[in-house]
Amino acid sequence: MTGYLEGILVVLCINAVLGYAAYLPLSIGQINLGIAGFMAIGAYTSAIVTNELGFPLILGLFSAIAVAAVAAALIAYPVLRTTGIYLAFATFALNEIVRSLFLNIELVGGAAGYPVAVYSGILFPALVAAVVTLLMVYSGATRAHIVLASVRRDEAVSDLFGVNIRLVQLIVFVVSAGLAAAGGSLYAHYFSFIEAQHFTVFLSITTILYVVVGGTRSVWGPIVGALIYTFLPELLRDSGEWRFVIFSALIIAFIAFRPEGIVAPWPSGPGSLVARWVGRSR
Amino acid sequence: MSAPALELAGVCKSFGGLSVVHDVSFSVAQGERVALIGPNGAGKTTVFNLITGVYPVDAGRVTASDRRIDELPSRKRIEAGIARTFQNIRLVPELDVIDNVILGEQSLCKGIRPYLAPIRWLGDSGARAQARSVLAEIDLQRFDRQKAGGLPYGIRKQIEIARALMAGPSILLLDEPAAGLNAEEAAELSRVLLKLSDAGLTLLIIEHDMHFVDQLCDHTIVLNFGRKIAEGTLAEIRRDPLVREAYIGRSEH
Amino acid sequence: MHVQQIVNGLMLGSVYVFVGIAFTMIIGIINFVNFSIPALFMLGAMTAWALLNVGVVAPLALVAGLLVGIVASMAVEQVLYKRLSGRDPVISLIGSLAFLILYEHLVIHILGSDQQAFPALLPDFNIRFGDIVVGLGQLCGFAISILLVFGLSYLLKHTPVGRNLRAISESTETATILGINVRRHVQMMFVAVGLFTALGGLLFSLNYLQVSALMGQEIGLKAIAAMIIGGVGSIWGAVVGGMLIGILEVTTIGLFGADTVDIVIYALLLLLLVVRPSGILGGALQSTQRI
Repeated sequence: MTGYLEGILVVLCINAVLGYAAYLPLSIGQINLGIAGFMAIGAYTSAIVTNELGFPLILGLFSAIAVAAVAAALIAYPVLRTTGIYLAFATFALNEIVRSLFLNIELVGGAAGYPVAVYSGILFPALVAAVVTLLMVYSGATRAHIVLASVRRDEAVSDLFGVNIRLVQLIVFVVSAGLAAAGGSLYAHYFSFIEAQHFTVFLSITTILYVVVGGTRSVWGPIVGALIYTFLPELLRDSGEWRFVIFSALIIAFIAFRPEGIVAPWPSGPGSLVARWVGRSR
Repeated sequence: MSAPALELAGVCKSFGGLSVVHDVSFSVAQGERVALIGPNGAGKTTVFNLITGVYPVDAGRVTASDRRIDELPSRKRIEAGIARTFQNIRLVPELDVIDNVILGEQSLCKGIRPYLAPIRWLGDSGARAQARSVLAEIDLQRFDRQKAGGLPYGIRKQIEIARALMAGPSILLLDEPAAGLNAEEAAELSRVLLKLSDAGLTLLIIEHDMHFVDQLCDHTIVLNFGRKIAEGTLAEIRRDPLVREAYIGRSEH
Repeated sequence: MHVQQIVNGLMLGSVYVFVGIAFTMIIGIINFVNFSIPALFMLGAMTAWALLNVGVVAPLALVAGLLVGIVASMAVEQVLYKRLSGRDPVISLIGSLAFLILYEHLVIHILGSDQQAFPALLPDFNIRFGDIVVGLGQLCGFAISILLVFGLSYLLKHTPVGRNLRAISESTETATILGINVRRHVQMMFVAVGLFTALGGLLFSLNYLQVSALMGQEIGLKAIAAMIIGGVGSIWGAVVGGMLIGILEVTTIGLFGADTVDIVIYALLLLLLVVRPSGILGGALQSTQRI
């Protein structure tokens, strides 16, 4: 396998994992713009653990997930008091705070970036992506899928049937952070260099966008979205800006004609399926 | 005599200074079929919302089978045996009927084990079996794999009932179950509810369709402007001057 | 705290007001979070820059900037109008994000992502108030922003158009029943949004002499912060918020250096969202309750 192809496949793996991180909040109707921030936490944690402490890659990954999950759990209480668009704003503020903090920490290179000593090759990212995908697909077959779809569609009714809405939101928030951190860890150890400037709100946004294209109602959505997002520039034989232009134009076209995304049953009933936002202000 | 399935004592609720429910008291015995009627805006749905905990009561008590529930958070009330259906159908249209019904037993799923089973891949066992049998009770099992969104109105109303039955409630609150149904569908619904009632389920029904109420319910409570103004059989209600006054200008069914 | 710093902050803040008003107006009236607005800010400035760069005369270049902003805003309305009824805010929000990315990357592709120097078109004229110095251009920008707010406020309270817009913000169904052409008014609003935001972009470039394809991003996020701090849905809130952010930014840079600006602003935003999401001026809570 050429180095070029290998690089693309690793990027696909990372995008798939990040895709699932963005997918979970979307599946309960929330927009989490802080994904990139948790990715940063994962990347830096994993890099520190392997660089400074000399631990193996797998431990770097687990500590990345653990640190991000704990951070998410701690910040979840105030952040999840916001709902709907306020949650989107709160998570984007969170993202920018995290990014700015890393930018200012000289210990990990600050603005100059942080080199990562341990190189993962392709096997590790591929395995992690496969495991994540399997877990997510499996969870889509369990009762969890029903709870998530119900919370997204109608919080009040879900509550009346016994669903603990706050707990569901917390779990989704924490797991999403963990997945984003996993993606960050994979990123750090393949590209061997991380800089805080990479983990912007716009990274969160583009991730959300390709998951939307893939479809936010099906567990295969993030995979489809990641495939499109990763291979589009290859198809266009262009690694420059056209990818984003085409991609966003695609999103717009989808929204105009098919908001459910690619992976969703074609609407057979009257009207098309409408994604309903379940936020409420306090 | 066993405890009433549901009892309200002096329940009051105001929204921003406007009294919506005032000093409402009534009791529903086990196995009874009771109708809650009144002109629009009388506070009937608010009473339901107070019973299910959507709003906290400002004053008064709500008890179910001698257990005080007005201080419980809304998501615990189904554990106290209270289930309901909604005026405007609130199913999840993109989920299969069977998944919608499975949601009904969510309150029984404690801990992490219930979430480990891949019910979609296990055919008709476990949670699906339970849901299918409840659907079968009201003769809807043939719709189980269909998306809830595409089904006719009358069928979806009954699916809501199936969902409400999953947790084995002691009392079922129905909000205008006959609204939007034609005579045939209403009769079918009446038959289904009668069958459930014979099996021991207590029913409290908000309705405007007096014919439906007449066929199904033994006891009627009338609200107007947030207060209970009359109670009794439908015949007694019809003779009550306060009730006639409340309904002046409205044509009865 | 230096009075000069406060004044500088107010001048900077007035730029945020242009963008913040655009945001708050659309959210307040049709409950649509329009993330494409920062791109409109950038498009106004970059279009003017590009034209000036190839020798187009200044007035034409500036007007072209405004026009591009308006057209870009109309495009968003055209594509998303079906989704703007408020029933699926997730989709329209995501759609507006897509437009942001689209516009931004179109410009990056055509003009590059480097920061560019905007030609000094305004006379370098400073006004002194005692010890305080203010640039003429900045003062004009500030004045225009205040005029804009007054004008908008007046429009909403005292004109038929304003009344119709307020009706629409209460309920689009009711407005339609009352005979109001909702779509037409929404389109007018999008034109206004494109105009204000692009104008803000032009004023920024004229005063601070720097433009880049990414300028919308930086300004835009802070303008959103300003809107929230001031109160979502409130025009005067956008003013209060914008000025506050401007002052905060200038004083933070003065005290701690440019690196910490973002942290301070966003930490404040986060705190406010958690503690008092309705913002300083209470905001139009009725419309936010629909969000």
